[in-house]
Amino acid sequence: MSSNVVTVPARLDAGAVAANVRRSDVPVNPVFDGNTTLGFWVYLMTDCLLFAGLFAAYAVLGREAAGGPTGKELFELPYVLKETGCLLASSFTYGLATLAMQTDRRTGVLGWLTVTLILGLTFLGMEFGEFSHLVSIGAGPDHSAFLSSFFTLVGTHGTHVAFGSIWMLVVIAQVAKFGLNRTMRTRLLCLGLFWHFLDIVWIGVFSFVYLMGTL
Amino acid sequence: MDALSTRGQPASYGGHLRTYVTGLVLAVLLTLIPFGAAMDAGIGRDTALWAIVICAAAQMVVHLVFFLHLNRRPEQHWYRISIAFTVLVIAILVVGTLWIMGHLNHNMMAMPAVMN
Repeated sequence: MSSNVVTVPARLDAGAVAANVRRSDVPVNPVFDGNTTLGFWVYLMTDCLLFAGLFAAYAVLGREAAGGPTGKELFELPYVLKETGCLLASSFTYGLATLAMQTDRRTGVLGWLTVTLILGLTFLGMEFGEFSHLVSIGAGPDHSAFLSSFFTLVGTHGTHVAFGSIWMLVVIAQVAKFGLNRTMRTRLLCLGLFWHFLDIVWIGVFSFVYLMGTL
Repeated sequence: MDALSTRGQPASYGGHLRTYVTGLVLAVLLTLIPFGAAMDAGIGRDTALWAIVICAAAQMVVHLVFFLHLNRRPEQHWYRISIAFTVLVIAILVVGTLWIMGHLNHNMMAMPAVMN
């Protein structure tokens, strides 16, 4: 770590003078912007709270099927296992992209990001297929409290994956154009935090919604 | 040097191929076990329930440690503090919701009996 730390040239500004701190005392990480990644992590923590609220709503409403179909009748576990496999594999391939970034292999980063994006889109396609199937058999979100909370929770996760995929597309284009500079490494790390985080939320979804719903 | 000036290392940076492969193997195991427990009718409902809860918690920890590389290094101080606080708030939110709504449900169901 110490080899990565350099100091910025002394630059006096009002805040620094007021705090009686010389700017040159503050180590700056030349590899990426640590303030941004920490700030993004704090955003992810607030996103956790959003999902906690939706999980709590589902925990209360998940058995209120209003005489309609229950999770036991609707959920197809082998299908959910394939979705889980896509998302888990994509988390792993994003890790490989991060490793490629650490050793400055630009084509490696682009390749693994593309694989990750394809796996993410496959997951989204499968989830869209499941949702449209449910709506077509009359088990849409308007049918019961169970289905309302189910579509809200799983749909919110899917929306996150969709925005993560758009972001990944943008980052792929930017890495191709600008290379692996400090800004791009920071963005790659933030997107990585986001992508791994979505997989952690999915663990909660498949465990507490699908698996417990079929018991 | 307080924690604010040592915040360079984010979770998710600084991993090795070995860590990612270990994480993947553990995650696959911790996925297959609860799916097997839920799909196998021979396993009792309570056993399956516990298997799902324990494997979910374990797999979340596996992802945090092996994919996000959350660890005890001092530069990750604020990452740990913020996630610990978040876990506390989630626990209050979810447990509190279930507790309160469980009681409400109980009271609502008791009403017809009283009226009879």
